[in-house]
Amino acid sequence: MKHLIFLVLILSQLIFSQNLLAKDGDQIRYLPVQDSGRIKPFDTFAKETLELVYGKKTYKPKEDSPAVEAHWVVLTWMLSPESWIKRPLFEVKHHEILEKLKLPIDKKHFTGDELFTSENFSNLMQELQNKRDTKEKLTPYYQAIQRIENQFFVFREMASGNLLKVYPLPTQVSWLSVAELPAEVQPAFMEISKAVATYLGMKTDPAATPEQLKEAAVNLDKFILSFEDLARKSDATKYAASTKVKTEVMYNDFHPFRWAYICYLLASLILIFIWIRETKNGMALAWFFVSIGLALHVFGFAFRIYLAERPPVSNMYETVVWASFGAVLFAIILELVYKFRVILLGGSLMGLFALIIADSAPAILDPSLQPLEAVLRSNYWLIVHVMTITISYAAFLLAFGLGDLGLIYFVLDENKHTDKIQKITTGVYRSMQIGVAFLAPGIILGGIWADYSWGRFWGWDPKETWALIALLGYIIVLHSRLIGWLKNFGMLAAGVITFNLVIMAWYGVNFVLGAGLHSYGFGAGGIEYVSVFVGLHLLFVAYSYIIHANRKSIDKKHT
Amino acid sequence: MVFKNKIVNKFWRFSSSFQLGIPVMVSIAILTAWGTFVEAEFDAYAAKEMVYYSWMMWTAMGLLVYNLTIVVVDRWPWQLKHYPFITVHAGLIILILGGYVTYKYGLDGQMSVNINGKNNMVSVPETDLVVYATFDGDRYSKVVDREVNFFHSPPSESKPFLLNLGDDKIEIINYAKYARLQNKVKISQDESSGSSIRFQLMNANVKQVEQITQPKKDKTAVFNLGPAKVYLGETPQSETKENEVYLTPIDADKLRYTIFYKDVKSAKRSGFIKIGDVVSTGWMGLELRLLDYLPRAQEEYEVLTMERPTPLTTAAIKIKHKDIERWLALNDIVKLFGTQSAYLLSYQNRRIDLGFDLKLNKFEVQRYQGTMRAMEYASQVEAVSTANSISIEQVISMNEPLKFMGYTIYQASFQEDEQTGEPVASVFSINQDPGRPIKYAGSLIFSLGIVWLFYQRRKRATAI
Repeated sequence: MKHLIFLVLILSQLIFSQNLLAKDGDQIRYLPVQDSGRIKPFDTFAKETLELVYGKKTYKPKEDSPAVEAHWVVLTWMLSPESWIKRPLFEVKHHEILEKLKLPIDKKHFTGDELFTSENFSNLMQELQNKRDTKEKLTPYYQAIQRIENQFFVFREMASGNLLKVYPLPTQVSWLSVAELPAEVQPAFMEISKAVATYLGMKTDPAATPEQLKEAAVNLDKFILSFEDLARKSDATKYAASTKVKTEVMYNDFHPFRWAYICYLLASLILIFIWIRETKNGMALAWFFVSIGLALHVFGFAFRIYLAERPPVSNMYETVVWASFGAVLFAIILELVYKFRVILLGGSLMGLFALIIADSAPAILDPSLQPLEAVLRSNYWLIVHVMTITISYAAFLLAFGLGDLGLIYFVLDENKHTDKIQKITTGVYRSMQIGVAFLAPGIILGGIWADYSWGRFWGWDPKETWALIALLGYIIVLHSRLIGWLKNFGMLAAGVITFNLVIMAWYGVNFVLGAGLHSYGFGAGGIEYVSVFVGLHLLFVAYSYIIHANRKSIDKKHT
Repeated sequence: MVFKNKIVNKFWRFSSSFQLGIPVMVSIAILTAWGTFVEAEFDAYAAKEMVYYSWMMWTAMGLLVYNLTIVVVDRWPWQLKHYPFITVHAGLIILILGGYVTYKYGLDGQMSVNINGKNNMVSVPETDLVVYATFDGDRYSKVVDREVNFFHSPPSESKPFLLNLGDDKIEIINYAKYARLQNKVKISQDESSGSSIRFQLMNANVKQVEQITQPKKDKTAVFNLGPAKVYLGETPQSETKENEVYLTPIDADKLRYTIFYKDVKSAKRSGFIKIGDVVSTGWMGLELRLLDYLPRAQEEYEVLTMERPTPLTTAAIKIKHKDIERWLALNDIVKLFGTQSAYLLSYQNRRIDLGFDLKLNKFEVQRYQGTMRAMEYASQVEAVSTANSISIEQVISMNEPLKFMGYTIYQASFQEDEQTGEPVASVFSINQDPGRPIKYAGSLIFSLGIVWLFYQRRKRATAI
């Protein structure tokens, strides 16, 4: 019990060292901004904008230079654009495009001068326009050109003050941008600009004392607050919608899902130790970390639900986070029933794995809070069917992780580990059953809601169709097990192989097929990584099969 | 069940076995997977034609239902332990049968209604060739109405599709699944054809070249820039109180222009314009330059055959009649002159009369703040059946359909004006589905069965 209290102390230290309380000079991050259909804090706006232009949430031109926070970077685009156009700010990764622009392909970031002033740039834009006129789907090449166009547009509009919409009016829906501010409000924003310049100048000035710096920061905060007062006076009701900005900045700083996977990582390490050493001690500690992880997971969802005012399953990022939650949850339930310890291990490993993927690929799995499409918005139940289907993917993810673990024992020595293999196989079988029990009703619910909102129960939409194919796959596996076609090895291998159908339904339909009614989830990228992942697993199954088959024939000779 | 006859028994065992069931399930999975790839490569229509409604799919589904049925019958006499299993499989059979009833007897079409307009025809995916004939050029009668599926059996030069009209013969000699139409304006000799103009609109922000052509001499053609409109045709007598310019053909080389203003303070202006002339409109510094003028012109299109569909492609057929060969796009109509009579030939999606009018009184779109992204949209409609003298007024929105005379009318999407982004028409999806109760019953039985089965299995140790 003592070490538990100690751990809680350490953990709370870790969390609060992030400093959830606002520092001096931070007020700018809380400035409410209207962008892509909602009100968000300037902090979020700046992070998303920098991500689009630079590819990261902080600006770090060289390895050894300090990282500059997004809000300072994006704000200074407006205050001194000419200095930014000469810095390597714009991320371009597509080789063919770099060659066309006659730029070195070993670099990732380029200055505005390098990119936008050449004739080749206007040629690229023309090429994109021609493609758009044909109304054909944009290939990754054109999507990459489109990104450059966006980067150019966003930078230019930010620099000219048109992009940053900060001032509501009672007469119109659209807020006024900095460039459109009424004459009597303009001085207030000028003061902010001056205070920012002073503060940032002082930050880089080695002669400045901490007191001076603090004073500049406090001064800046004061001007921001008085600007906010003016904006609130202009339209108090619209500004009231910005009460959530504080929570959102806190969410941006806190990274609940990152803390959750750190907990799952610790739990996994402990469980691996327990499982290999076959000890009974330490389970309490493992349970502790898994529970804290799950609590943080729920906490993160609560944030997103509160901020976006909708269930958190509207894009790939959110479904991955949701499924990792499901995998841990199902593992906990099965572990409580069977007490095999390995199921909890599989669950925390899969929770860890899915959360790391969600956290590390923001270009593919977009973590920003986006408003919902009309169809999903007006139908709460459509969201429920998505949640039911993706939670079934969580169960299959657990089966997949356990399948991998089990196959390791076939590679090691199946005869020495029969008990462990048996336990893992039970876990795989049960996870698959849970998955089917959610997926089948989920698909039917999807049919009912599709009937209700579009008038067709089943329209061969690719997303639904692949969910059905995955269901068929798992039903085939369960039936084959029932009649004894699949033994333990077959079940474990099936846990791994059949998951490819889920990958196709979940990721492949959006990113590989990219067609159909569910087009509101479509993006691009990451195909190469997913293919390698799938390929390696198939190789692993093949390898373990060879070893398993060899061992069987040796065993036969012996008897 | 056991049969005395050995062969019958063997066949029965096979019919109820996993040796049949699992390969059937595998083939359905492979077929549907293939279908999704076809859809990604082409479109949903191609996937249905080539895969989902193909004989392979029918066979696989038939075998599945057969296998499921035999499996259930085979357990006779049923005991309590069989019930969860029977419920699941029976639910599935009912579900699939419901789907079949929908396919066979259901209607699933689209209808678009202009704002303040009405419509009573719903268009479905099936295509027909329809020919109307006239002797006097006045009264037309339908002489041919045939369902065709050129997607499946495309005609060609060597194997044309023949329409025999007694004295005359029309041949369909080619079919393009994905045709891109390119408009071409040609000089016409026909006295009844209208005029065509090509013009440029420019100011500091806009620089745009457009061409408009009157469909007929007495019809008006219009180009809508959003805040301003350009008309080709007769000028209205009274002022329109809009920013509009009317261009009226006078003779072979000049037109009269009349400019109206939304701003009541400005009076209308008019004058004459020739090719190359520039007229300052006085709206936001816009200038209009006449680039080309054809007093007698006809719009025709050429066809570019594409490999894959895009939003700009449509299906098209090539027709041959006497010495004329020309393309005809889906849902377009062509006039042909035969030996005795004239014909109107149309290749069209089948249109079904609903038996009532759907009037669109109002259409509203709500957008996310500061963007063009639609948040919600709704149509205020009135359905009127004069025959039965019943009518109903209702707002149809996403997920709030209208049920009327056996049809269900859903909000599907809406059409926007390309220039202004303002909605111009609402698109409804209309269907009639006799299979619905069957499918719902099947779903319910199946879902209950799954839960029951799951509960039952938990008691037994099948995992080990």
